[in-house]
Amino acid sequence: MLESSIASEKTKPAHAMFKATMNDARLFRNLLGAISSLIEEADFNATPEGIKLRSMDPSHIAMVDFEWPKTAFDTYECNGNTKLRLSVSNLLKLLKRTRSDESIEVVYDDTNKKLNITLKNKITRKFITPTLEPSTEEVPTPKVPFNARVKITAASLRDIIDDAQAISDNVKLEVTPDKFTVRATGELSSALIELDKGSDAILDIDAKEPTKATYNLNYLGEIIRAGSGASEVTSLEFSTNMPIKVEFEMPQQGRLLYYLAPRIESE
Amino acid sequence: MRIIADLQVHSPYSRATSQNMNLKELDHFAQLKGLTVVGTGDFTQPDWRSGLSRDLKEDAGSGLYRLKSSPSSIRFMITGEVNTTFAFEDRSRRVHHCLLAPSLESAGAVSDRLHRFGNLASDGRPILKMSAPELVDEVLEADPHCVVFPAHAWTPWFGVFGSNSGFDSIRDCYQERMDRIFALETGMSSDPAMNWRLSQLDNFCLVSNSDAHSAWPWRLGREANVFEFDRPTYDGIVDAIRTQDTVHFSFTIETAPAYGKYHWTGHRPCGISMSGADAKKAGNNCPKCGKKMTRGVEERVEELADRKPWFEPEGAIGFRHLLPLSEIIGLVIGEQNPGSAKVWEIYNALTKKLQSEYSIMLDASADELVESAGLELASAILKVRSDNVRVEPGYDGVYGKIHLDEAEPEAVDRKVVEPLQDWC
Repeated sequence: MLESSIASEKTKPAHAMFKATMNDARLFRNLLGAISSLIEEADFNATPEGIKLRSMDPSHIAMVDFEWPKTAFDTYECNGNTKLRLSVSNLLKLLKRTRSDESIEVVYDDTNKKLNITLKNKITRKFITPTLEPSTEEVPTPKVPFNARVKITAASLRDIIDDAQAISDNVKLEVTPDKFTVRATGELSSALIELDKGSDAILDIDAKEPTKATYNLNYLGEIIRAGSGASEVTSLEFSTNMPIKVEFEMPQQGRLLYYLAPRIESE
Repeated sequence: MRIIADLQVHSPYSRATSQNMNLKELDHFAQLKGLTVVGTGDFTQPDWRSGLSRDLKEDAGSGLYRLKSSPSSIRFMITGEVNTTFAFEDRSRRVHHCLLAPSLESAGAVSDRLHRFGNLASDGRPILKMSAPELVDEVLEADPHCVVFPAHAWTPWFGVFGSNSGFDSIRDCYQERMDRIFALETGMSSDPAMNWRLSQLDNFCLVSNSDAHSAWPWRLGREANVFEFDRPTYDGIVDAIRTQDTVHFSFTIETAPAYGKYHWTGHRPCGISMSGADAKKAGNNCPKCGKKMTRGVEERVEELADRKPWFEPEGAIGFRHLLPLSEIIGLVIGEQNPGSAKVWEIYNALTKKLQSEYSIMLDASADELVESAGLELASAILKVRSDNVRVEPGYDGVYGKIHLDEAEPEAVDRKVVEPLQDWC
């Protein structure tokens, strides 16, 4: 069935063609969930090599940068560069009841500017959703050096951030060559979480110099919660009072990373 | 000393204004709130002005007034609001303006001139058939020490930038008299940060007032201006506004813009509301009934802004987001009516112990709050103080709803986070 569909598209090269399938539909849904934590609508750039997305949240405080090569899919066909602007929250609504034993097929209907999604298991469910007018704006990534890097299990990081969020709106991250420290100070109470280089949660620490920066927990919490649903290992990279890069290692090839602007403190 | 001034309120002679809005009540609730200076409102209404002459006396050459009947520390500034109706580029424009006067005599002189343009007795905020530049001429010719500035600049029907009968450019409204306008009232549905996105407002001092139609503390002083002076005077306050003097004009008190009645675009009869971006996609039509929605301030600001969010001009007067204490108490104890006996009981006990509502909201330490208000209410006050509450946006005349349980990412302190694009 796939071959026939692809063949018919090949006879119409003027039309953009995009079609991808994945045996575990929940991987696809989790990834959309990770993106939706920050952005409502996004431009997905589909190329013959894979899918890319880079977008800032509306307040320009955070950015998601995501790349999924064609090898991450079970089948992948794309005959050129196709930019699809989609409502991520709408897509998630459609995929809300997706199960892991379901496969997913995503086909872009260039004539009607619609995305056709088919979920298959014992029953076949088809959804059609409109695409939106893509933005012409290109989003650059922050040009900053990263002096410290902490590789940590995503579940531990999520616990730490949840603890901090119970106390404060902001969190201070500090890295020395031997230790990763998280501090949260609220009006009424404070929290201090210290993880030594050898602890179970820490996979690696690399610090060129003692580094510290403060970030808004509403954003960081959203990022960590979203990313930890799609990955088991997280890398945090930052320099003193500069944006943080939060990268989640993907089970398939590809990358999911976020940038978050720092909260500037006048100490 | 700290002077907190709410310069824009209404008398019972204005439509939809509470009958408790008299000078004694204003004086009483202003003390409870922690205000120093309150506008009288509606000075153009002859009966109200007669009452002002009867019940107020001048405060020793300050250009402000006080109650004759009490030794209260509250000072009144003689203020009013008028509605000008005029045509510009083939469209009818209706714009509200605030008026400040240095004395009751000036207020009388201004009213003597304005009565030719409308019936001043009919409403505390009279409708005048004259253009905005004509209004400026008449007021300043009556007394050059008077001040005119646009009221609640963004509200859909009567704001200078209102989506229904306002302007895209403030210059189009005041035309050749633009140079006499040095302030702009941001209104509840916008805050200074939203206004900073328009470079055309760079020379305007952004002021905030409650526009209260009743003296209750959840209305009076919900927005205000905070100054630092040895004593309050008309000239001191006006000069600080005119020169955007950050030494004497400390900051404005703002409700979260989403709390305002016109922040989002929506259609009240259908209970539909949405952000400006969504409204645009919907063609500004109500998705339920298809009628035109009332365009909110957020959408209108986005339309006229020539700068990105979070831009802060150099030397701008700062601001603080606060919410009325009565509403916070109501939320904590699960009481919808901020005027209920239960809320008043807690409010009165707290203001008695910690001086005034503003002392509680701005000054009291966390320990003092916990000791006086208990942990839950103290935490709620501190959340509001740190701008960490979620407000479901108001629309088409419906106030926003406050939620203490969670903050949205938008509640991030704009002043201390540099937008990511600055690092790119």
